[in-house]
Amino acid sequence: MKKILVVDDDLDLREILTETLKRKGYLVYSAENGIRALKILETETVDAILTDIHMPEMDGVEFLKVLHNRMSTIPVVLFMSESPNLSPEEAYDLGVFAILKKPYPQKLLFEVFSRIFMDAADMWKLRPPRYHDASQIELRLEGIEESISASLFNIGRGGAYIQSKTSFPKVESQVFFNIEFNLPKKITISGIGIVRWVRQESRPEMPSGFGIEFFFIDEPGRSQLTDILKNLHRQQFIPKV
Amino acid sequence: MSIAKKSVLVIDDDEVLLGLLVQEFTAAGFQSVGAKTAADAHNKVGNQKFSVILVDLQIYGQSGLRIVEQIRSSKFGFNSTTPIVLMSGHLNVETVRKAGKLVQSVLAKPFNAKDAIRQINSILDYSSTDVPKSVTSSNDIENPASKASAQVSKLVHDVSGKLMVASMLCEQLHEMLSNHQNLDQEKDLAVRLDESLKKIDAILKSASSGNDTNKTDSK
Repeated sequence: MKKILVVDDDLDLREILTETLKRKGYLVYSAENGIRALKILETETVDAILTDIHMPEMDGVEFLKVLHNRMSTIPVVLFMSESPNLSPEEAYDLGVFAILKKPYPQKLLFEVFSRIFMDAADMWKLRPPRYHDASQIELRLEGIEESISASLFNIGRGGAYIQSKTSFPKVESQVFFNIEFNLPKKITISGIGIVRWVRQESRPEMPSGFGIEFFFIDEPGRSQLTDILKNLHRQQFIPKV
Repeated sequence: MSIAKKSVLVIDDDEVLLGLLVQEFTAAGFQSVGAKTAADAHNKVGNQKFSVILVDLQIYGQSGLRIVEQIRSSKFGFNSTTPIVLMSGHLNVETVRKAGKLVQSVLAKPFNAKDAIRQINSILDYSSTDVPKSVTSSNDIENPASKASAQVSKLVHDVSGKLMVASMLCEQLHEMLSNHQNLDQEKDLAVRLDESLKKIDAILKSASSGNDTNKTDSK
């Protein structure tokens, strides 16, 4: 039975989330803030965490940072009711698997959890949600390592950062991508993703660009990418640079 | 010496890599110190507080994890909470799992120095223990605009939480009604939905009366 830790200071919401997820067959733990959640994590292992961002004592941002510093790879689903002191690019970089804005349909919550608990073999075989806007990205790069160190491209557990200076797709739009690496051997990663954030202004050490979450990747790129990720030990879900 | 300057200790018995990393970190604005042996590392760790420490998994046959454990122990109190990054060309799941509780991050060799520095900077960004006070204090100054924005932010958070409860209750009630399930449960859900809507109403009323008070005060 998969175990989920629900962290929210709103007692009513904690209760309804707990009973709804329990009905779906999950074992649910709950905590009212980050400190209580960390206490639970000292004795229990969980498969996923659902956490709010505004909480007294230890808020969601601090909680995420502690998990990050502990090299946690537990998938985290984050509630963000409005923009606090954490941008989506930072959240995905800290390892957040999905960001949900309250209120959202409970169907969406179940979808996110079924994706989290999917077998590795089924990863990136998903049909992405239907979006009206779609754009095409074509990239020809030398090598993965070279591209990462030149901040042209970077890969996380769930998607990629792509540097862009002039054109930016819309946030939450669909992208068809075709990324070709020529070193040390030719690898082509073609698939469909969703744009999760866009950074139009370059910042120190952080060139402009956007972050996409992968939903579907064609073979053999899917297997090649899975192997690359195994060696990289990435904590980030989508890197911010 | 500038207090805000970041400092790094690199511990590696590979002299070439050690020299290169120290050079790259210096170029990136760090105060960089290298140690080639475990004894040298212990000496340096005992004399200075570093912002971050990089340790190779093997130092002349001694386990880098052992060095990490010693740094974490109270004997080297200066750096017992300093973020530590483990480097290795032979990382496996077992090592990463064992290191997980002791170190902040792992770098698989070979790596690009620029990539390593970026990762270290990101660790320092996320580490609250080593942020200089002068940086954090400027954000702590409370001004009326940020206070008002914090109030609005709290209001949005409180209302959206209750809306979420109401929305989930609505969906469950709808599901139950269409399946003609237990009437008692339907009633229970309806009562809870009514309560959650009343709570939203109460939050909004209290916020608006708070705003009115502020307006009166300003007059």
